[in-house]
Amino acid sequence: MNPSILQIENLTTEFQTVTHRTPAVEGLNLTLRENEILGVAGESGCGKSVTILSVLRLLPPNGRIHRKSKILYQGKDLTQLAEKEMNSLRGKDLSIVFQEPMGSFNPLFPVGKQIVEVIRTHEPEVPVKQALDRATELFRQVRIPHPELRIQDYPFQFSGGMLQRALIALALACSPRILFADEPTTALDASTQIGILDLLLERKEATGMSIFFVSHDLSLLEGISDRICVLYAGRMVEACTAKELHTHPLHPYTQDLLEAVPRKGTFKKEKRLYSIQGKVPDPQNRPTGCKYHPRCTKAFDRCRKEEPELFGKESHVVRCWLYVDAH
Amino acid sequence: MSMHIEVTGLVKQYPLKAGLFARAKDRVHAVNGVSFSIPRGQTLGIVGESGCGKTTTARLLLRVIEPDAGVFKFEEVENVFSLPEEELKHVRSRMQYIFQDPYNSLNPKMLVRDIVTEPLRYRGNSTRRELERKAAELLEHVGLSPADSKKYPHEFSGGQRQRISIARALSSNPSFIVCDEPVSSLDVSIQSQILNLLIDLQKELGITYLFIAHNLAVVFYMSDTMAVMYTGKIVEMGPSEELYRTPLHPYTQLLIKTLDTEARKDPLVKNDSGEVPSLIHYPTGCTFYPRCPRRQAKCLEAFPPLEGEGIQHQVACYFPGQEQKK
Repeated sequence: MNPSILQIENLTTEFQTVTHRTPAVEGLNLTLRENEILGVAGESGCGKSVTILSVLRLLPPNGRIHRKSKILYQGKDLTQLAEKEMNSLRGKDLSIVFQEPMGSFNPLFPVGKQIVEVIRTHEPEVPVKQALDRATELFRQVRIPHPELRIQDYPFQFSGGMLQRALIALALACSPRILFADEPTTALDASTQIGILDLLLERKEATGMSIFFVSHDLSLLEGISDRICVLYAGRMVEACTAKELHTHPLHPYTQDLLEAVPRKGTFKKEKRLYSIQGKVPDPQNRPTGCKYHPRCTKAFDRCRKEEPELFGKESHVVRCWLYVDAH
Repeated sequence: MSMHIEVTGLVKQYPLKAGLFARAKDRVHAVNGVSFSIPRGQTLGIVGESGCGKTTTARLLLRVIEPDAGVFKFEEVENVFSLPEEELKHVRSRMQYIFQDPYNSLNPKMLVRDIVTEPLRYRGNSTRRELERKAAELLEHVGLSPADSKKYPHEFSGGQRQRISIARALSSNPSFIVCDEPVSSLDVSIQSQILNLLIDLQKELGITYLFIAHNLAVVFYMSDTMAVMYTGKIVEMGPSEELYRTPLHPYTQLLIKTLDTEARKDPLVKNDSGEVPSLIHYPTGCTFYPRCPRRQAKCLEAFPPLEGEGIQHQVACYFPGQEQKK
């Protein structure tokens, strides 16, 4: 097993509104290992994106990381770093690929120029000409045809898939140690999606970086992740290897999710989809006990009163009272 | 089998103008001669990448936008496209549309009761009491409570709003509903509730669906027949199970491979450029030519015709068939 590169310990992130304090993530513990792809799965509002924004310290002004939380990278606690130190890490050691490539570039500058800007921000000694060559090389690595021409194009001249490749090139510009990918393929068509995934994997192998891959699509994560962690209502409910999650999912939520999505090669006359009842709880008004109990078919008395901790062995943990004995 | 819906030669082009009074120099070829038919009570699924004309096709059928050419035979109406506005009103009540985004498709200032019965009020001849009873009935039908009729849309979650959309679509007793990405904006755990509801309503009321989604597995699951669109044309169409097991067009084969994340190692998928030709300077030959692994000189001459009969398996390719084993 590779040594860990990022450790999130007891992360709690809250948003302060006029009347309420809304917890988005509560007590999250996660370890990202070197050269690993960690898949983070969950529905909207479960805290996936907030986790990334907390690590990168890009939370909106009303977002606040709890003071007992620790985010350790190379022995440094990112929550304690000064803004200036954080700036030197962002875009260099830690970089991010967002869901929407169109919104991630400045439409008024050529894409190549924006990559040069990132390179020169972190390595001011590099001359512009050399930075431009590096940007061209990055374009080649992310398999954009005719890199030396496309480097001068503006964002609107790219198709969605190509611009997402350019965004990955931008994220890779300073050889990051960790790449945070927030639903990087959700806005893309099926045929381009797979190309982007392959590209990320190939770059991971070539550079030895780690990828923190967030998606709502479990089957997509299965194909690319080493380990998967499932979030629900701001906490981790299950974590294990990608393969085990699909062959032996333990948490009722994970099991239900896998049953509720049409898998390839299933048709309506063969099998009715499982319907999870109810909806994702409102973060201001989460239920007592296990957060999934109102929707869970296996819930019993204890689930309503007490919140389970994470049970199981280190390689496969699950937050469910059904597995208290395995602890 | 008698067809409920028959569309022939549907065309829509958008002129591109340089200035206010300039004459159109070029055209965007959005939909280029699409023909299909759906038997009553069945579902036709349309898949294809963004910009291939899926939604344009759906909107043309309801005449939200006017087609440039084509015939749309719907029930006893020979051609919906040639109906004058006044008669269209009556036909339209039998065709409804479910939109992708349940947050923007419901008027936030209207009570749910008024939203779901709006199609009926538009047609007149219902008393207030009848409308109220009808609203309660519709809401129950889609799994909401009659008490919800006096609430506003913002009081509901995404899944519940989509149920309200469905209730509204059902209010005029339609026989044909276009579902344009009905679950894409919903949470994964909510999607199956809506898909199951749509299936149940179809079984109960015999509604015909045109189902559009970009999630392939969902379209395969929901459809009896599937059409694969590329650059405004149907390139392959057939019963969905057959299309899944024996895809003939290279584009369909590529799409089906993408269902499997392991397929990324496949050279076909890996080397795919994904570049779609311009819809303005529409090429004469097959539009899939630049990406096709089986391309030959013949493909550049003309777009291959869609061969096959009725709702049987049809494919628009000069060299259809299974890909060669390596």
